[in-house]
Amino acid sequence: MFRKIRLPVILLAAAWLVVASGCSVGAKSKVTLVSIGMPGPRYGLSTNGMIKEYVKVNPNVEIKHEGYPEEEYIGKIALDVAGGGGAYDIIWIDYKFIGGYADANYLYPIDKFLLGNPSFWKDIQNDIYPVVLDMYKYKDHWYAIPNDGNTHIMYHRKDLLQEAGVELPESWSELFEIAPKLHNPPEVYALGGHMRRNYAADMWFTPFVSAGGWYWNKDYVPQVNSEAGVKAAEIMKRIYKWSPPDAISWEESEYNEALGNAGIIAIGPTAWGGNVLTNPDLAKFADKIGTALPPGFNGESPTVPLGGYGLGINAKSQYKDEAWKFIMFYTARENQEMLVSYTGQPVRNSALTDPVNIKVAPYLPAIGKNSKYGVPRPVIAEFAKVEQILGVELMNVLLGDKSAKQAMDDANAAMYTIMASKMKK
Amino acid sequence: MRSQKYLPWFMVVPAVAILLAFGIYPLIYSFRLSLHSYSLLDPSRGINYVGLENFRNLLVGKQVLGINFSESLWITLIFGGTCLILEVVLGLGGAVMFSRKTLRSIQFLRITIMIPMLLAPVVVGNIWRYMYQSSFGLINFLLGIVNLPTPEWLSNPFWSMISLIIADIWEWTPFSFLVLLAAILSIPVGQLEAASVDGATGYQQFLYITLPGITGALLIIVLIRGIELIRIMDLVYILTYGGPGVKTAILPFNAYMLGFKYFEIGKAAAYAYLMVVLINLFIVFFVRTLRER
Repeated sequence: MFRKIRLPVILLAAAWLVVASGCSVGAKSKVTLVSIGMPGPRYGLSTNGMIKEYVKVNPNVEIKHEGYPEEEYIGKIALDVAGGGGAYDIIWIDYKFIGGYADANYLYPIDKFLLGNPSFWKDIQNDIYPVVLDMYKYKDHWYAIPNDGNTHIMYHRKDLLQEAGVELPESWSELFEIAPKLHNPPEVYALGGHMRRNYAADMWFTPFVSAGGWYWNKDYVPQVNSEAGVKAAEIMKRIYKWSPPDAISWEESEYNEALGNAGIIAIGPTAWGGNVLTNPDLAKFADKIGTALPPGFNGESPTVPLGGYGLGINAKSQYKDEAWKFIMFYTARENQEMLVSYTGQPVRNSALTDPVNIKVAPYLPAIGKNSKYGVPRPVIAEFAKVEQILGVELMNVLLGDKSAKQAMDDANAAMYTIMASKMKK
Repeated sequence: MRSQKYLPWFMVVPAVAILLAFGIYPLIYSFRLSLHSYSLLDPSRGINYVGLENFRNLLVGKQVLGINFSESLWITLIFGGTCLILEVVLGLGGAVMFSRKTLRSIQFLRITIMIPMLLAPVVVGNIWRYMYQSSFGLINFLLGIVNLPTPEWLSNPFWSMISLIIADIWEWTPFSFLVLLAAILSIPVGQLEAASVDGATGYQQFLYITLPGITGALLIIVLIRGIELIRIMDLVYILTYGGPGVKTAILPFNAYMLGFKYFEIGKAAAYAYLMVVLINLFIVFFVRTLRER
């Protein structure tokens, strides 16, 4: 019986080998790079657009871009790290992972490429804020070139502020002074924001750090229950008081919907920048929505968190040179209008102030201006869990289950467990 | 002759290999992981053996992501228990109604009822999420028109649980309805007619003929839906994200967050193993009940 099926099995295996080897022979004539990132206008559309333009001028290169929703995208990279790397050549990387993945030898240090292209490197250094550029540096080595920038912006309805006869607030106290004049629920709520648990700590960051707070001291001993931490939690509670009740469950898309299309929010004091609210194709009130710096304290400018991504190279990639050429193309000064036309969100100051880009995406100058006041969020692996703990406790404040002081004390206590290994070090 | 002897073994090798590779090995490996501290976000820390510490932390009530295991178990039981009871009751009511001769021919309605079950949970979650918005959602808009109170569906701890229950019932009641309808229609009509001739009321026919006739189907529904409800994640993730705060953070949601958001693989494996124990207790209880029947 076995003899009877032996011949077909051998023939099948031989056929498969012929087909497989044929594929690889065909592939040798063309370099295929695999890139990983996220989907959506800012990430996937822009990358695919840039890839389309790149392969037009480099027909010997093929780039396959894989875009996954945020958690899946982080998971794919994490699994590639655990599996020894090599699944992707070009990686959209969040700066908070640079250290961990550099230590794991997953990211390739790009110093050699930077030194080999001095004019490009000099231009990058001149055109991107040092604080932003440094986010992609770890232990004196560079691991990515920033290709996407972001920070917090105060989006607001210019028409509603004008109707109420109030000026754009520059401080938190001014914001809460004008809130009653704008508040007319359920038609219009004075304030709003995406306050869901996983965003709450982000929103809390701006008043917390602006008030002089930081998550831990130099020995990683938690200190979110400092005066600044409690003050920021109280501000969150006051924002929520003037917000639609369901803002506590909103993520970014619902906040955009409420401000941009439903028109029920007058001011979103502090939220990440994005290409929705000032885009007439996506937001009904786009032409009435303005951008500004979030409020600060006592006449001082606020400190806002820096976001964004960089493009890095997998240390196990066989095509590092080709990957680098694409990264240069993506981040080159002359290609940033192309990037914006493909709904990308650039990080170069020249691109953020380029009138051609501003016409397409009017919010870009706000990212440029506000980034001047930006600081990176912590870049340690434990930070994601710290944000979760803060999110839970901030929800307790917003729901009225705990006072701001009690919630921050509890968050601080919980952080001791999370930070234990760091504190020991 | 010799090859004939080994042929049966040869034939089962693929199935056994697949079972070992995709069933047994991951099970053993994940148990091994549950005894370790391992963060994929900080791979430089490596995999460190911690013994039963992950399990101990969960069982002694240490908080994981702002909520401890027993609190989360309680939320899971409230959610799962309520959904299960209501889905069975509503499904049974619908099945009894549609088993009547007058309604049997309304095929269109039967098919329509199945639609929610055919939708992906992510789609169901997103549909309800936008409808539940208290400021600009459809439900409160309609309630407002008829001057009824407009709850804060997703921002109030009580109503957010109700929101989840409603969405799950909407999606899964058709399942119990279909199974029970099939079970009712399989009861010999003669029995009911004989009971009717003997003067039994509709209620008595239901109690003494229909209900005993569908007990098997009922237990199967409870078993299948019970397991599903203990491990449901997608609906909660999309609709409430476990919130407000952690008020709807059921067990599978926390396990998912630990494993796939915070990449604490060891802790997530321990969490999942405790859930497996719970699900198995549930299965053992119902399989024993079924056997006794």
